[in-house]
Formats: sequence, C-alpha cells, structure tokens
Amino acid sequence: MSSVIFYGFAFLAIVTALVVVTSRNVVHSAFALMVTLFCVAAFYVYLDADFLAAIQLIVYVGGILVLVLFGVMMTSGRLDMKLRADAGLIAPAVIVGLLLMGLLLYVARSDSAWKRQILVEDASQQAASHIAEQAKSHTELKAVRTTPVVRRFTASYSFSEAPDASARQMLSRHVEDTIRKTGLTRLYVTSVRSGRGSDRRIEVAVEKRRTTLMDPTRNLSAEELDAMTQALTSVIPGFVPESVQVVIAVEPVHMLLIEGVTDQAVSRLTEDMGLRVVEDEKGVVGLGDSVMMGEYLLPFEVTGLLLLVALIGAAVISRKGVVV
Amino acid sequence: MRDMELIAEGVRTGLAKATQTLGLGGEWPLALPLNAVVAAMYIALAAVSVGIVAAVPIILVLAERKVSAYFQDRLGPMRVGPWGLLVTLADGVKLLFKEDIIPPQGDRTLFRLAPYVVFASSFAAVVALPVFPSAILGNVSIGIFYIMAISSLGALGIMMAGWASNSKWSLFGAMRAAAQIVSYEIPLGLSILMIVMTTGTLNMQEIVQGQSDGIGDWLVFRHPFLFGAGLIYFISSIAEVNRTPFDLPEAESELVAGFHTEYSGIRFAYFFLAEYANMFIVTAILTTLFFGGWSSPLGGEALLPGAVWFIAKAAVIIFVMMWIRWTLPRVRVDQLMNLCWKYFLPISFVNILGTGVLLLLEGEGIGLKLGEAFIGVGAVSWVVVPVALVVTGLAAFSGGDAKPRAVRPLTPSSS
Amino acid sequence: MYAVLTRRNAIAILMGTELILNAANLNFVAFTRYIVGGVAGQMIAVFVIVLAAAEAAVALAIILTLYQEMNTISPDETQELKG
Repeated sequence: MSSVIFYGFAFLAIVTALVVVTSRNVVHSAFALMVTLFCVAAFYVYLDADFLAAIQLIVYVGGILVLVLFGVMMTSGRLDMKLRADAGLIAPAVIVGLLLMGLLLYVARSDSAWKRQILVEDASQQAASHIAEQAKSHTELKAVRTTPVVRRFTASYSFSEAPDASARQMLSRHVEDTIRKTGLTRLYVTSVRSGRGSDRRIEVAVEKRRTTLMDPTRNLSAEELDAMTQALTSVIPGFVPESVQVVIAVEPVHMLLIEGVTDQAVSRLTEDMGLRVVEDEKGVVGLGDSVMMGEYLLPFEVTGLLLLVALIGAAVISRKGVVV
Repeated sequence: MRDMELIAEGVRTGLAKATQTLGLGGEWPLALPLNAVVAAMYIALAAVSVGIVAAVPIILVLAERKVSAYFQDRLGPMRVGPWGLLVTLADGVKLLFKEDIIPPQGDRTLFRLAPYVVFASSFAAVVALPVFPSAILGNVSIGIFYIMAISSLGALGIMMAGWASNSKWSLFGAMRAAAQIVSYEIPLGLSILMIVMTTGTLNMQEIVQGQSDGIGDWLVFRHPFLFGAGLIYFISSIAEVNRTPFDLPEAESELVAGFHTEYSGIRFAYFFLAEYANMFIVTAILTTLFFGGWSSPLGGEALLPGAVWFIAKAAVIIFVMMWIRWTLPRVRVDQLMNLCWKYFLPISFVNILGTGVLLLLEGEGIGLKLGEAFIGVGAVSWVVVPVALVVTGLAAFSGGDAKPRAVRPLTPSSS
Repeated sequence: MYAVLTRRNAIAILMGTELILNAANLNFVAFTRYIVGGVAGQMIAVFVIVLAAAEAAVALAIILTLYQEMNTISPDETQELKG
C-alpha cells in the first residue's frame, strides 16, 4: 500500500520536473517546480529524514519558490519561449544527463557498503545467539552478528513519602554533578521521570553522548558503570538519607548487525522472529539529539553567516539605480 | 509505516471481537487484508481532518457575524434559524448556487487548482494539533515544524490564485499577501524557536506535557521574554492569516477583494473556509505553545477534560482576534513591512538572547509552579526585565533636543 | 541539466539549477539512509538547501536588475561579451 503512494509520488515528481524544463509558459514551470519540490520532500520522509523534509518545505517551497514566483511575475512572465530555437544544444544536454544517471546507477549497484544495524531488545545472551542462528537462514542476508551493549543505566530513587515537585530537578542536578565529579564527561541525563499518583519513585536515565547513532564508543563500559554506581549511591545532598533509596538498573540490549541489501529483507527478518526493533539507523537530524549543534556547529555558523551576506548583497544589488 | 500496520492489526482484531459480540459473525474481519485496513485508516484520518476543517469555519463564521454585530451595537443575523444559528448554512447554499465564472484570459488550470492548494494546506495542518491529551491524530515527531512547513504552502496557493485571475488587482493583492506571509513567518519562527529552546522538543504533545503543572507552568508566564514572544507570535499570526489590521490582500475597500476578486461560488467558498480554518489552526498553535494546550490552570486535567480546555482557550483567543478586527483600522503595506522587519525582528532577537541567558542560568525548570514561593531567576526576571526596558527606553528616547523636521512645502517654492 | 543548457529565460535557468541541486540532495540523503555511518549525508543536504537559498536570492536580484536595465531576460539577448 505504501509503495503505491511512493510510486505515485515518484511518477508525479518526474512528470512535473519534465514540465518545468519543457513548458513554454514560465509560470507553469514555476508551479510545476513547486510540485516537484513537494514530492522531493515526500521522498525525504520516506528516507526517514522528516526534519529535512520540513526544512525543504519551509526553505525551498515557502522561500525560494516564492522568490522565483515574484521574479517571474515581475518580469514578463507571459513571453512564450520558443523551444526549438537552439536545437544544437538539446542533444548534448540529454546525453550528459543520461551519462550522469548511468554513473549513479553503477555506484548504487555495487553494494559494498550496504549494511544495516538494528538494535533489538532482548535480555539474555542465549536469546541473542539464537536470533543470530535463525537469522542466518534468511538467505538474502549476507552476515548477521549480535553484540550485547549497554547503552543506558537508570538510577531510580524511591522515597518513603511522596516527593515534592522540586525533587526531580534536584535529583537531576545531583546526577549531573556526580557525573562531573567522576570525570565521565560524555555522560548526560536523558530523562527524569516520576511516577504518577501514588508511585513514589523518580527515575533518572543516563546515556552517553554520541557522535553517530551507532557509535560503538557509546556503549557504557564496566568501569564506567562501577564508577557511576559508587558515586551515585553515596549521600545525596539535600535529602535525608533514610527516606531515599537508590537502585541502579542497567538495560542491556543486543545489537544485531545485518549486512543485507533491502529494507524488506530486514523487516521480514524482524517480523518472522517477532523482534522488537529498539533503534534503527535512521537519520535524525535536528534539535533532538543535537547532532547539528554538536558536531556540525561550525559549518552551521559559517553557513548562517554566508546566508546573511547573501541577503545583504541581494538587497544591495536590487536597489534601483545601482548599475552593477 | 510499521506502526500503522500494528495499529491496523489491532483494529482488525478489535473489529473481529466487536462483530462477534454483536452477532454479526466474528470471522470475516480477520480475513481482511492488512493493506486494506491501513488504507481505510488513512481515509478515516483524512475524513476526520476534512470534517474539522469544514465544521470549524461554520461555527467561526457565525461567531464572527455575531461578535462584529455586538461590537457595532447591533444584533447581527437573527432571522435565519433560531437566533441566527443557521447563517453559515445559508451562506454556503448561496455560494453553491452561484455561477461559476472563470476569467477567459486567465490561466485556467492554475485558476482551478489554486483554491485546492490553499485548502489542502489548512487541512494538512489540522492533523498535527494536540487537542486530546491521550490521542492525537498525527503525533509527528517534528510537530510544530511540520505545521510551519505546511503554512508556507498556503502562501503559494494565494499567488497562484492572484496570477491566474489575469487582473492587476488580483496580482497585486496576491503579491502583497505572499510578501506579508513570508515576512511574518520570521518573527513567528523565532518565537517558536524560543519555545523549542525552553522545552527541548519539537513534539507538540511533549510541549504541552511540559506545561501541565498549573497556570504558572504555562510557557507564556514563565518569564517576560516568553511573554513578549507570545505577544509577537499572536500579532504575527494575525498577519499570517490575513486578518485586519493586516488584511491588505483582501482589502475590501481597496483592491476590491484582492486575490480572490475573480472567484465566485464554490471556489470562493474554499478560500473562505481555508481562511477561517487557518485562523483556528493558528490559534490552536498559540494555545499549545504558550498557553498550555489541554492542561487546565490547576494542573493536569483538573475539572474538565483536556479537549474542553483546549477548545475553550482557543475560543478565547479567537474572540480576541475578532475583537481586534472590528476595533482597529487597516495598516498600510509599508507600515506592515516596517513593523515586521524593523521592530518585530530585533525584538525577537532580544527575546531569544534573553531566553538563552535565563536558560543558562536556571535550566529548564523556570516557571512559577502553583503554590511555590516567588523565587528563582525566572521570577526575578519579571522585575528586572521591565525595569531594564524602561531604563533603556528612557535613555534612547530622551537624547538631545528634538528638532522639528523640515516640512516640505506643498507648493513649489520660488527659491 | 536540460533546462540549464537550453532555456532562454534566465529564471527558467535558475529553476533548472534548483532541480539539479535537489536531485543531488536526494542522492545524499538516500545514501545516508542505507549506509552505516552517521547522518553526514543529511547534514550535507541541509547545508546545500541553505546555500541554494542564498544563491537563488542573489541570482534573482541580479536578474531583476538586469531586467530593469535591458528590459529582457533572455540570456541570448543579454550577451555583451563577444566570443
């Protein structure tokens, strides 16, 4: 079902792109470009890049296209373009286009780097190797390995009486201070949850900062766990010790590294074995885990500066009476 | 897509149980192909969306008529239905029967397409509104960003309409409208940025959940910078939906009817519906982001179910919008742009700076919780920032003697 | 590609350029999705979008100024460099 919609979008994108380049009416071209860009945004959603899709819509469709439309409507948008006027250039253009496409397909075919990594929730080692064994029977997958990893631990504090509202903040501060004191700076608090109603626990979850989603150095090692356990079970400032109990819980998951080719193969595998995929190699670019703000901060700033310069430049150029 | 399939599975089994208990035979739902169930679910989702987008303007048009009437010391529509309640229905029927004129020199395809583009953008945005605390039609992880993206599409539909009508007035109206919408998206986006900075998520439901601790937790009351952001967001959103005092594109007394001059009958109805639906959407976003969405002033869901609070808050804001419409005169186009670029933009930047500083100093928990003492940087800033503003204002505007500017003579002087 | 080389309206050429950039972006994102190794492709795509926006703004400013000068935007008629 979803592939029907996908092919629909693909078809629409190709058709409107052709309209953009061949239409005699520039205004028609411009609106066809709008539909094409919209379809590209849809493709981004299919590729699990929804933040990028939203950016595409806002910047391209809502910004650039409006600019282009202004330009078209202010210049003589009614001129009909003669299509056959420059017949000499059509052939080279088409040939170059086809060559580029061929190159692309060639690169895409050579599947040397097509791997998927999925994180599967499971507790025990036996279950994990059992899964790996079973996975080998799916012939389109080239290799399957499992690795147990520990990604996050949770410190849960249970109180003898219901904690008040500021307890969450104080606890999370306490955990952060502890992290700083132990020197394990890559750890950070991901969530602080308190039970609703009569549940008198507050859970603080800690993970390691990552550079890529499947960063192997993101796993918490035994020493780090020991250090954190020791540090956290000591006295918590601001709380009477008897009323609080700390339990450190560690959540191991098993990472399944699959070398296969297609999405369908992987999803068939996980369906057949009833696995629950905890994490997948999906590109989440955005504010959530600050990949943009962490690793790519400098390019982000530079591009922003460039955009500002371009904006000022465009405003200067388009003042009346300025001869460039 | 995976999640939809799981839900469809659930729906299928649920349907099987239901038909079993109702005696209609409990086997056939399980035999329905999963794809069909998924497709049916999508269609149901779309139908609900369309339903909302169609139903809300009906109520709003009536509200507008009545509110404007009471502001002008008259009674409004009283004869159509009891107390004038069927007015929108009458309007709709009238529009349906009007002649469908398509300007002959205009661009036919674009002319026909334009109302649908504008309508589609409103309809797509309704899906992501967090009305209910437990369920939301489309809980997109990039929630608010998605809504911003969809609103940009509306501007394009307007330009399409203006161009295709082949008339100077429509074209100018359309271009002004597009310029206005695109310009005011910037303070809008910056205010939203402040919200996202404070709550750390783009997800609408999570933003509301971060505000569910009582009225002091509502983002608009947390510190004066967010209050300013809320104000700027409110005014920019009035500009975004093209309502007075920013309704140049429609400009009933200037450009005839702006970009929808040439539209009649059902096509006009689409634009009309889209405008009121947009008003609702923008108000809904304002309540979600700044006023706590479905949470009540006493925290969580006290007293009334969440959806009722949501609609109540949105209704109050819509009333304020209508109040403003019938009280203030229209703004000129250069004043409009002036306001946006010279005033709102710098103010937004200052707001972001202030929010950033406060976040650095106190972390995410700033805000006055119900019943807490008046402590914390957030609370202190309510005193510090207005004082700083007043001092800055005095310093800026009291420099030197104000000389009267040279007045241009009305008639050419003989010198 | 076809649009950039063949069309006689400067703005149409600009639109062709946008199409090329979009196609490249799509490729970046697609490859990121299927290759293990982080979100670099999406980041590149974000920056490409931003740069395309900057370039489109400047290009349109130039085109509009050109239009004011020469009253036409066909690239053939605005050629002043011989050769």
